[in-house]
Amino acid sequence: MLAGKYLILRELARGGCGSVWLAEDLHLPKRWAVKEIKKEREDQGMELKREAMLLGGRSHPALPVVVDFLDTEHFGYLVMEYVEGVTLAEAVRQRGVFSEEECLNLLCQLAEILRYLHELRPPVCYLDLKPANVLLTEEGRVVLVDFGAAMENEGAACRRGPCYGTYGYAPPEQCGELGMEAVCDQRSDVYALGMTIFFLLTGKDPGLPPFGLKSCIGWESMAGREFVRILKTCVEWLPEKRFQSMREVLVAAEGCMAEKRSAGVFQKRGGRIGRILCRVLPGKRRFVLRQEKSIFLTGKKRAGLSPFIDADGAV
Amino acid sequence: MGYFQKGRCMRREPGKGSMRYYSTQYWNRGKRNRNEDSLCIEQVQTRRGRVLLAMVCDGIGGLAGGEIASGYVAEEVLKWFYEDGMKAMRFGNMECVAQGLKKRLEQICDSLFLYGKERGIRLGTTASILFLWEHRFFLFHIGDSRIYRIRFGCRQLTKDQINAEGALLQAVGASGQCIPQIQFGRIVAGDRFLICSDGFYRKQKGHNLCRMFGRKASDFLGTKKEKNWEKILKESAEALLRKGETDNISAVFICCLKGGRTHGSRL
Repeated sequence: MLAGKYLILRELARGGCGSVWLAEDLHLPKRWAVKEIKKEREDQGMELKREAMLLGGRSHPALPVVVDFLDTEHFGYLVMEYVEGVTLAEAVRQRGVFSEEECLNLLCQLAEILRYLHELRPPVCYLDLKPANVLLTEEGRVVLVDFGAAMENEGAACRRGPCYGTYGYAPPEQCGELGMEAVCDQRSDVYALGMTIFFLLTGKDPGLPPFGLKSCIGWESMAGREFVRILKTCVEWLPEKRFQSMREVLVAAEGCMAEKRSAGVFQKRGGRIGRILCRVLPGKRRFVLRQEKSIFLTGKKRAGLSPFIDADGAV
Repeated sequence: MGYFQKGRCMRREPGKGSMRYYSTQYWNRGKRNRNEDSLCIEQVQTRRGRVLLAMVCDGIGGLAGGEIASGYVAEEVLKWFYEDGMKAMRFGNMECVAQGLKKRLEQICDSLFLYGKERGIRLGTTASILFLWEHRFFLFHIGDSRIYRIRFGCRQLTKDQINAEGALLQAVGASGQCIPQIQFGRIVAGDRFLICSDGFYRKQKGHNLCRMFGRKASDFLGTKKEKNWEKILKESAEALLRKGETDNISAVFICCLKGGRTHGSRL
């Protein structure tokens, strides 16, 4: 029982900071998701409160509605709308990788949510986008959960220097690989979005070694040229080379979808003309249906040949 | 007529299903400080059938940066597989694919040699590449790693490119050009292939391989086929380490079985 209002039914998820429980409202015929954080440090209670302030009062179909915030001596609780669905990570585990069209659709949905957050006053950067933090409902709608790492923009940037995130999905400036002065801003979310879509397309977790796009060699043949270009631009190492905002990502994604729709016209006509056009326009019809096994083991530390560094690290 | 016989293409016989491949690998640095071997297994389902690329590269220990040479060759062949290799499979036949790989290997050999020349070092690696496509296969081989086929017995498909003293006659990157051994063949359901570096076969008696890998595929019916082959490979490698093998040990084992119908027939 929680605060005499909610009956805890079962655990939904467990993370590094705490657990999420399914709870039944004792006054209304409704179920809620309760995020519980144990206050091991002083700032953890403040973090949950900040999350409640970020989400409270927002109205977007892809964001969970926050209904209550409870603060006790040892625990903090955030009561939110319960969304029935599976995380994208679980969806890939259960049904396999997503097709290019599905990935484009999800890319547009996620980019739209993030665009909404980035255009708030003050702007909010999510900073922890990964498949485990995105719920997919039965209708195919995505919902963003876990705003524990989200931050509001302080002037030109959300944060200067490294901050909390998930390695593999977090951009280099968030992991401290671009120095202490590098800023985390909307472009950090662009990077994480690219990595999330990469995981959905290939099934390879960029958070596991070898990190990043190297997790799946040859992934470029799994999608069309334009889609690959969009993903590669999203996950550029330097923030200046990425899409500078979610609007740019959406424009690029919509362009890619329009191109596919026009190619689809040729395919739907079928017959001899359709087959000839599919042969003449490579990449419009995917040749590789699925990657069944991929093992790559080497003692070499870096991809490519240059510069020459031996195994002891001497150049 | 040469290796590439244009105009030949195999039609799948009516009623013949496609192939399924079970594969497993073993990769251990043995008693050395670093592992200069690289291996890869890539299996994809395409619109023209199931394809498997397996490769073992053994960096030459006596030359600098053996792991760089072997890793680079493996990466580049893998890139070729997903780029030009897929195009060749999509629009061509087996011979087109082999021709493409031959050209690519020549470029890789050249790049590696020039890279070493600029830095005043000599790099080199062996390369044993096996390409399976439904009922056909081809292999490319340079050096002293080996590819065996186990059917009713164990047969070494590759020829060791060594002289009487046991020194390598050629390796990828050690000189500006290399002439690989190329061989085409047909796969029958039940065939097994073993690709291994010299660390795996050196202290192995010939009949051992036959005994270990020659068991019927039906001995391993069940959901854990690959785990069983993996166990045999691991036990065999560990026995070699106990016998005093110090070199890096790498091996890839592939078992070909009859599978369900899939796309594609013309190869």
